[in-house]
Amino acid sequence: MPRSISDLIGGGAFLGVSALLYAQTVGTGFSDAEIARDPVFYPRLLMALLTLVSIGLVVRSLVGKQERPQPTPVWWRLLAVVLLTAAYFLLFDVVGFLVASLVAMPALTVLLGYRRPLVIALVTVIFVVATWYCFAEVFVIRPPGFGLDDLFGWF
Amino acid sequence: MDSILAALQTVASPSILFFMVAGTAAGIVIGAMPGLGSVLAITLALPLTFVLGPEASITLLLGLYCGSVFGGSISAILINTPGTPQAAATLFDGYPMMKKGKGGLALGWATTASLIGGLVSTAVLVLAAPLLARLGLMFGPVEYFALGLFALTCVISVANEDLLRGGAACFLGLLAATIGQDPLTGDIRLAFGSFELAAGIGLVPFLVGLFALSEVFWRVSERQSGMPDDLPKSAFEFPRAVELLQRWKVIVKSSIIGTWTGILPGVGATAASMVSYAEAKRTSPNRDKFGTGEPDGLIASEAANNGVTAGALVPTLSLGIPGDPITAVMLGALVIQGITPGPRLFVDNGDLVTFIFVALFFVNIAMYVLGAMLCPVFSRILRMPEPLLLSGVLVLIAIGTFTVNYNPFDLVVALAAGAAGFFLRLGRFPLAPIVIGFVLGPMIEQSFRQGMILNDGNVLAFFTQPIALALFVLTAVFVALPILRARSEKRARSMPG
Amino acid sequence: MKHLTMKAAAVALSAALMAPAAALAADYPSRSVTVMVPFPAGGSTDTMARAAARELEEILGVNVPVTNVGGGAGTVGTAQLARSRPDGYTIGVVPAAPLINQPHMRETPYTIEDFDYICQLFYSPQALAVKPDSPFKSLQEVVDYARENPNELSYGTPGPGSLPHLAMEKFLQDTDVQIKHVPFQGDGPGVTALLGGHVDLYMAIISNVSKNDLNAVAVFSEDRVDAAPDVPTSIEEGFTTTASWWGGVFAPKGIPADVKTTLVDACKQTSESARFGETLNGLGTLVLFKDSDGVRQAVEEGSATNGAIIERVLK
Repeated sequence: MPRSISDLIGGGAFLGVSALLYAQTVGTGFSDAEIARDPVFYPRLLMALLTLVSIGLVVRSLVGKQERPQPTPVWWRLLAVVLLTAAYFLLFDVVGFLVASLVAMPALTVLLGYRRPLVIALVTVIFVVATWYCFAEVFVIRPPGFGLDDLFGWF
Repeated sequence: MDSILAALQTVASPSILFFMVAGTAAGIVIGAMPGLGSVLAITLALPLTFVLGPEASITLLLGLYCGSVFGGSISAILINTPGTPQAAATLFDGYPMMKKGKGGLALGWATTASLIGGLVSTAVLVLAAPLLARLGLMFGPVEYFALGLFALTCVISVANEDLLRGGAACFLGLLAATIGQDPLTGDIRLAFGSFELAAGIGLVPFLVGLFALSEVFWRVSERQSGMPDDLPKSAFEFPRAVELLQRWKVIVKSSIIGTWTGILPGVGATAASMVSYAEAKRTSPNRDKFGTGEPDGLIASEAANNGVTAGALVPTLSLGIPGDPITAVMLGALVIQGITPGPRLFVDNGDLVTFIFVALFFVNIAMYVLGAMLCPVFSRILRMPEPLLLSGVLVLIAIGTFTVNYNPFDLVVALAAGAAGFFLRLGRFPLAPIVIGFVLGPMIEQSFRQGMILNDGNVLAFFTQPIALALFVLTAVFVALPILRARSEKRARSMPG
Repeated sequence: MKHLTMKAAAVALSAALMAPAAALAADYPSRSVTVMVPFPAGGSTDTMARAAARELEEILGVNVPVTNVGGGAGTVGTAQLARSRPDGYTIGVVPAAPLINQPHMRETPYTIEDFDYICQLFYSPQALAVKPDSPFKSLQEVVDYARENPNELSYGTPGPGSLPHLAMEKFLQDTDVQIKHVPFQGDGPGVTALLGGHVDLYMAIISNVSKNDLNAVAVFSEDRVDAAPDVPTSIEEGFTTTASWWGGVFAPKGIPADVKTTLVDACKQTSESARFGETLNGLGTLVLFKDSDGVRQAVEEGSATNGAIIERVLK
């Protein structure tokens, strides 16, 4: 039974990261140059150091002090919010700021447990429209996608 | 003397005052919104500088600069998400203070520390700009390497006694900074064949994701809410003068760290505030309370990041070389006005330089006053139900991060950093070392390799340069001290009696 | 009755559908034109782009906002420009390097074929500056010393694969001399290093010289430059290499012909503006107008030349 789950998982994860990154540097034909001109010397050095520390973490997880466990997160909620954010970000440039935000903001609010539809709708619309206006007209940075100036002619 | 009087007269004129107040207020508001930062604030003002005269443009830009650097601390304290990268270190003690119900006091400390940091660096700028610029020139590649390495030792202080986890985080940050184009050969490394990744990981999306997004994820998946429901209203609270005087050492040292960091082009305010925080933690008598809402931590971060503002103006004005990306934009604005900063600026445009000094002084004051006035407004806004607040924050994060470079990939970076940040927090890995590694990494690598080229691969030659040698020795001392101290403490504890 | 109404409706409908298309081309520009700059705000390219945008606003009569899309030494913004809609409402002010250098150094999602070339606007000759208290007073002295002491001197540039770097390497090849190359991240750190005496020489645009009271041994152009009238040209000194940093207005490939004409015209007018010229001179850059065919030729030639140098030096 590991004394510290985070040490074990963390150490393992970092070992994986090092290995993955190292694999990226193999076969590129870079490392023949002298140190100053070698693009992979420094990154590899870092990977080596990270590997050492990761091994230390794994070892400590098995023989070190017992650690008090952290409260576990509500996994399905975490998954939901990550997927929501991912969808929002990925669609941001595709459907545009207005549409994406008008969908994402209420969705997240509901996910967090707030259930007053009228308030949500009102705050969302006001906030998103105000932000759009602020960026497009005041800052003159046009958010991506369909905008209020496409809807109304007067902007 | 005449030029000071003339400058005071100009500052007092209605149009200049208007731009001072408007610029500072706008800067504070922009800085307080997660994802939007100082560069954005100043870039927005650029078109205006075409039509305004030099004095008005400069006042506007200075107001935006100082205001935004301070503004970042507001959201750092109130919602545990840094409004700007420079405010990342303010999270560590600002938010815990807020959770204890002392949010108003935290804001008061942040504002006061920012003011003092700004004033100290302005004083330094006024008194010694050309001299300090020359001093800064003595730092060549080898010296920058030594400095970077030395600054890296501050990771030890923020690793929260856990060097293995802190070290892992630091190396992770250092590695993340290597992704992209090799600065010396132009080769692409660690980009997994992606063109977007080959441009590297941007600081803003990385930090915003690591802190702000992970915070959103954290709050969604918390078993119970970390915020007590009956928090007293966070009005603005001035710290007591007695306390201020007690902590003078931290205040002064942090301001100086910030100022000096600003003088050396290329280091940056994020590094300054982190290093200052770590240094304060190392030497403060209250070091055990760091991370639980200790004012010294807040002071260290805020005094340093505002200290960078005037410090960065030193090389900008004296040499025409920008001290950081923000002063780079200011430099562009000055050029547009037909003013060429450089050694001759002090001679040819002496009156304008005096004006800049005077304006900077008053901008800091304006920042303090406006800060005190705006903080309660922000607190009020942020008292809305947490779900609504967080979703609004998400929208701001999205648009703020996206508009830095109009690059959809930045959002991907933010998302990945957010997920990584969440799991790192879950595993009790400290986030600060990641940031320190990330911002210091490029400087360390580049200067090391440049030094190697200049010295034909002879590393030993690095130790022959006095400034570098001094820094190397200090680094060794800073690494050895904690180990020795820990060993003597262990011995003391195991002794009977 | 019904018959007439249907016909009227059909005519109206087809007129309505055709109108936007006709309006688009005939009334260009009918809304704001965005100028994209592939470098962060505050740099030389950005300042120049903003000065150009200001002129274009007056000439075209619409808003001309500037967006910065930095990253990847200019490639990220250039790639975005290539992907933008070729309707003339998104154009770029781009220096040559992302187009003629970077594609040889790495995989870029664009080539020089992906753009419509409007015009060249600016041109800044490179100069070789020496550190303060340097013993070298002329380019020949530098070359002679380097020949006697290969790999002892060092020269800095704003980055690997940058126009100054490639120019200097070509010069070194032509003169068969060896000087160590120390790349920096832009002129800021580079000129700082030169001022501090950490490198012996620095190759970059001439404004760095006059601004900082530095000495330059030569400017790599055919004629002397107003910004530094005492600096001899490389040609005068007997060498053949010239080098400059230049750029202009480019658009994604496929913009309508009349839109292109309007833009070329606007560009020409911009280049003739005294205000524009003054701002550029403040940056140590000169206005140089080349029309669409001229700049296209420059891009193709530059790409071929620099491609060869990059092959030799960086691969």
